Amino acid sequence: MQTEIHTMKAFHKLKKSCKAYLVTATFGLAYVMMALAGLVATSHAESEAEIADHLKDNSCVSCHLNEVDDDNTAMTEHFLKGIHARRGVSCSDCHGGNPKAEDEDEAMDEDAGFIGAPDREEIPKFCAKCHSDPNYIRGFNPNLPTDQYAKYMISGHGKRLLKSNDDKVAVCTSCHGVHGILPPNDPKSPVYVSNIPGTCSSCHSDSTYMSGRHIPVDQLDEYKTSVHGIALLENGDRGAPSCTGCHGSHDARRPEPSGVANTCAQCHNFIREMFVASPHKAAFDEENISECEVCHGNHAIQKVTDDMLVSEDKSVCGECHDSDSKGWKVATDMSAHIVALRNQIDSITLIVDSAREIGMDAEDAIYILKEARNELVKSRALVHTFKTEDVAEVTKAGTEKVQEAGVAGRGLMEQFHFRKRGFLLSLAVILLLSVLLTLKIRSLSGSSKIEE
Amino acid sequence: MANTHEMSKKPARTVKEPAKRDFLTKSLAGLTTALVGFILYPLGKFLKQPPAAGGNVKRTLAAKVGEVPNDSGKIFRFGNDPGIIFRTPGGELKAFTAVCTHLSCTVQYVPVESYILCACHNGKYDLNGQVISGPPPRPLEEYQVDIQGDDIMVTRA
Repeated sequence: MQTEIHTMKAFHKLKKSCKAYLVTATFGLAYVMMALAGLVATSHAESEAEIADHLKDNSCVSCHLNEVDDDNTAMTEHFLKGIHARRGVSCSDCHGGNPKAEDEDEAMDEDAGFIGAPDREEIPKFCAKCHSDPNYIRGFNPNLPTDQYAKYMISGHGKRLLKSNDDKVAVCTSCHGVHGILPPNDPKSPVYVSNIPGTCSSCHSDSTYMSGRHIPVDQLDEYKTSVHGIALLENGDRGAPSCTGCHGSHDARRPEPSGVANTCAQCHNFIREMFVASPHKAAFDEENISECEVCHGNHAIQKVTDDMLVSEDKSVCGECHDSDSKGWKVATDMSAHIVALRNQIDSITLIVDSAREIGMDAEDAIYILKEARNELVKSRALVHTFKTEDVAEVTKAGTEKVQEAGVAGRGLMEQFHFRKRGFLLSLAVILLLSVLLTLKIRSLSGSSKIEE
Repeated sequence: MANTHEMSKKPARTVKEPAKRDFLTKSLAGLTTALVGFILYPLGKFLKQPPAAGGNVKRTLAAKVGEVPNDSGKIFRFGNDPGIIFRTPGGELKAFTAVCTHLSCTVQYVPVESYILCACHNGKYDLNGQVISGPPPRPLEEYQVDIQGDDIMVTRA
């Protein structure tokens, strides 16, 4: 009886081995046929071929790729396209088990270290096994940081996971995907810079998912209308900040009011320096007001307009300063200088454009106008000093440029009228000349008759 | 009597004819001169070299060799836009568009520190035109530089 059992076990083992060999052989043969058919002609396909070669003896891949379960097949195909498979990391490096075992039970033996799929709250630790080990990661990419787990644990997500056991917060796989993880510089990666707003919003714009969290769900809609959103999503400017540009990525959380200006200063450092040197800094610190945010907003930051200084409905200065205050006077004076320069530029631009439209060579005037606009841009930035004299100095330089452009533009128009007058005058001369020539010819023919 | 009348009429006409002809001739001469002037003036203007080339200029004189010593820069006009040419502390001549990629202000070379600065929002570029810091989203477009005699010529692609 025992011999029979032993024989049966041996038979089943042989059957499983044969199955594994058959699957491996089928997998290999299919690849060879694809290669022959030219289906692996592209470099990407070639890299997959290398992966297939690297993993062709891996029983996890060979079995799961050819399973009846479509989900597992798709999962394995997905994995083969990811950065882990491309760098030679196999399923067992994360999930444990024995990929060399031909027997299914032996390959996924928990006693031999098979982990299987981790629970959601275990995922950060699961990934950190490798990604927090500088020595291990260095072997794959010496420039890849290894502080993601430490950062995650101080993030809004990590804190909720740690303290509240909130299993709805984002873990590594929520943003990076699961098996087919792509590097952040791959445009298909969910954490590629222009994909980040969509990735974050997959949870943060879902009012049902976010219920009970007391944070808005319209950030993406607002961001799309902002200068940053338009620059990144419409103009493809990858330097523009996405969500992580201000909130951080692994350590993502809401910036503290005192940290908002430093966050903006990553790019707008000059404005930050001017603001820090201004009287507003101390006042804002005292009131714990978010420095840049209070005037410019956060997710829906719009292109600045001169109306933000002084206007009936758009003045941000007027939000705090009464109309008889010193602050309002400074805002009014700065606004007057800037608006005056802007209006001068607009009016001379009209003249220069007219000159160009009628065919005059207006390049000089256009060039000078650009210099004037430079000064206008500078003066708008200098608003953050909140010193009228600083703004006035720059607008004065701009005004001089506008006047120069005005002289050039008006000169072009005068030249055009001069040419027009010259043309009419030359036409009159030609007509008169024709009349006189006719008279002269008649007089000559008359005198010759008399002589006859 | 009739003959006498005819005789007295003919000499009167012959007295007026030379004066009339003289007026006509002088007028014709004057108008012809004016006409020549009307033709020559625009012709001369046309033949005169324009003061500066605009628009789609592909190549221009950026500076004279002596104008750009080591670790210094100069703004020059390239079509409708400013360009910047500078010589690095190591003596290499480089030229870029001087239009900042943020809000189109004109950048400048900062000696000693050796970087390119946009004073409007403190955008900084390195000497290869790459963004170091600040809001500029893209690097500066680089131009080709070559020296012809005493002239530093700059060409854009």
